[in-house]
Amino acid sequence: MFLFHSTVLRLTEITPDTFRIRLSCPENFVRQFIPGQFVMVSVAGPSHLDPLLKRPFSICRLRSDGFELLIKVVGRGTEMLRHMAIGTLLSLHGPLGNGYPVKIIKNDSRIMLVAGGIGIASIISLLDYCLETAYPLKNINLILGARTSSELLYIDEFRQLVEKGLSLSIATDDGSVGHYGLVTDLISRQLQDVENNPIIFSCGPMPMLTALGKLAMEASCPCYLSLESRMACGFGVCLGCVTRKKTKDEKHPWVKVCQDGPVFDVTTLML
Amino acid sequence: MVDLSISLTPELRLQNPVMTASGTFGYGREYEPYLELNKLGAVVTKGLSLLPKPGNEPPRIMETPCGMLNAIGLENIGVEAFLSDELPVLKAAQATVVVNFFGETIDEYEELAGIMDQETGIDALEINISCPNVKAGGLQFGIDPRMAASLVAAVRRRTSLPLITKLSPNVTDIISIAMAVEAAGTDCVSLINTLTGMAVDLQSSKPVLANITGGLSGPAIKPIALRMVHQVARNVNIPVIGIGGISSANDALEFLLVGATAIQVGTCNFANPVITAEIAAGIESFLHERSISHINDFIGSLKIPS
Repeated sequence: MFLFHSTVLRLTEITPDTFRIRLSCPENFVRQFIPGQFVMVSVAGPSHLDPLLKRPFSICRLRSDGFELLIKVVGRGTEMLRHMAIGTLLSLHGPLGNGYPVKIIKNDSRIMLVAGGIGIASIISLLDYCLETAYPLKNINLILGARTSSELLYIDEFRQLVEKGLSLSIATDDGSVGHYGLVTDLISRQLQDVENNPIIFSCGPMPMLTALGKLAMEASCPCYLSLESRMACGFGVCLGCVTRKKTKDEKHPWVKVCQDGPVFDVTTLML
Repeated sequence: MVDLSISLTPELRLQNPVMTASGTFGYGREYEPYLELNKLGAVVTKGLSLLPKPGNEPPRIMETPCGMLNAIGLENIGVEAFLSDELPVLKAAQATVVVNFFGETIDEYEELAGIMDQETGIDALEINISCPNVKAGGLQFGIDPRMAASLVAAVRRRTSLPLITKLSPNVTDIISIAMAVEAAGTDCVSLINTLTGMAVDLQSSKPVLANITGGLSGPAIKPIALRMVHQVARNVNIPVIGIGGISSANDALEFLLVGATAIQVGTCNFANPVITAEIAAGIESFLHERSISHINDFIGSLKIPS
């Protein structure tokens, strides 16, 4: 991982509360990157102390001149980032975390990518990896969940991939597009249909991940969940981001989302 | 060249006054990718207990203006795992090692001190009597001068290692506690630990932290810490280690100016893992620019108008 200064190269508003930000990075950063990893980004300038802590964001896409983050405005830090001028210098730390276990994806395995809301940022990094490694699109089932149609991000891009074989399913809370309801309704149905159990990779809100994890375990599907947590450091020191693991050892009940994750095998977590 | 070395006791000489604060630096190894641990004044490890301790339920942290609240609850791997798995890493890195430790009873503090006294590679012990986030141990020993003194005296009898006692700001009169632990035989005092604070969520009408309250740290607490270090340094005859929101060389210099012999950097390690090295370099530059050849000539040189 690197500690580095990064320049804001581009900032594009996507919806009223989501934006893409492109940041420069050292050359080796791209070589070290594993899909699903994240960066800690300082929101204050180099000599400012408020906000004090860096913010964790999934790395969405690698680009020739850096990488892109997809960010939803949820608080003061993300609001400040949204207004960053091009050329602003930010302090960064990354890539951090373990990322998705891409080595387990074989060319004949079926994979199910499940993204809830802004969780698409992490899932896109894995989809891009599949495209780069020429993994057959027909073996990918992309399932998106959002509150409403306007919150479905990158949808045009995904629809183009459907023409090349990608299977795409959508669920919205208000029924404005696709299934009226939860992504887990779709998944439950699809798990009954497929011949071979897919490997599931998912990122999204915790209630969705919990429900998905339970479905996957019932169907005996390998399932990897990318968790979100509040972090002070991002590299395993503050112990602020812990979540409960499946264990009877009450002296060691936690895993660190930042260092042991953010991606976890569902069977290792207490959902 | 500026001589940055300081002595906390005749046996405990640090090459510079920049230490890490317990609980913000893990067991040291986590920072090895970023820093040469043997270039720090000392590494102060995460608070250790006799047995591993799971700590509190999450959520455990919350950012606040210029600071953060934490209620980690002294999660740690226990002394046995520390000695077998972590201390060798620090020894190999040739770091100066201060082990922060705590117990739920005076017996536990004593037992821990006795165990660590037998180890090579530990340069000093820091007695934690000031964590606000646990029900037993921690702060309960740190708020009453007599209790604090009995604990320190008991630990003193069990070890010949240099002893630092870390004080809480969550008391009415920190000077009386500092004087009590000095009389009981501590070699140094370090202050301050976090201030008890709270955050609530208006949307859910619930406390943010599972523990309800937490310890406030970061630059937000620096003025309070600076005042307390100033007051304590004038009232004890042992070295004082200043802690509390230090985020730059200037902050560190302010603590040295009011009488701290060394400083510890805490929360800012999270935001910038190399901040300790930057602070040490900044102190050196500052003293060099003012042609001060030894840091001792700067420590405690605050001028108070009469």
